[in-house]
Amino acid sequence: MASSDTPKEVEDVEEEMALAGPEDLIKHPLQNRWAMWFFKNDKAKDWCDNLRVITTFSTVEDFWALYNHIQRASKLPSGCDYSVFKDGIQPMWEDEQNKRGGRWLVNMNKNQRHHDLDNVWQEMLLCLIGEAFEEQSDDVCGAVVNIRNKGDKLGIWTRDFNRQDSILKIGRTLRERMNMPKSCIMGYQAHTDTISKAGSTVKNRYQL
Amino acid sequence: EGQWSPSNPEGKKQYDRDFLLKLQANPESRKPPSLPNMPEILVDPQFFKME
Repeated sequence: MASSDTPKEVEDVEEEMALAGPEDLIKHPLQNRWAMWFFKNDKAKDWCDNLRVITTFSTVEDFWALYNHIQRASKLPSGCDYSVFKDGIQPMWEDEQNKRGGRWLVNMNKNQRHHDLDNVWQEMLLCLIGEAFEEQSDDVCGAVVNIRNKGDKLGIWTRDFNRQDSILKIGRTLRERMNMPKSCIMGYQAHTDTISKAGSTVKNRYQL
Repeated sequence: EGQWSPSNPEGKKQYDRDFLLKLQANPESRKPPSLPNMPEILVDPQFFKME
């Protein structure tokens, strides 16, 4: 090795080390602060009393610390939900930020709980905290996973069901990130339609 | 403007999937968080396979 090259290489390494330093010390801040909620269906209690905040987080590392220490969605008993919403928004239709909104709904069949459920839920969370929805991020309120014997459900909640362009962009990003097969149709439902549904089917405001 | 970094604290805080997954096994990401007593959901982290 020519000696004249050495000083430059040393300089490069030093520069890299200087850059690596703060990366290791500073946790990666998120664009939003999020709250994670747990719902357990205890019929002896009111619905609201069954809903509890687990914690809030605003860095990537704090998100993982939480995620790494709580039960996987697929291991929860039927009737339980996890929700992750922007801090200040409650994971319920009645919240000011949700009452005019709706959700992209992903239905899972029973066989998918062991193969797909945890992966899809994790993917949704990474979309939220990583700001994968980009300019549409302001329209996103949160995500919910419902564990149910008759079929698990996942949803991305947005704040206004009239915002078609934004909702469709969010849906397309979601499909792409979940690797959803083209044959699979995903629907967007307004919460007001879900509340007042007659029978078991809620109409889709949008479909992808 | 641009992506957040320690040297650009005002940047946009947007992270892609691979970057987020890479941070899952960081020492800070393994620390037990301070959580309320919710035995239904708390688990030992060793059940999780770190990537």
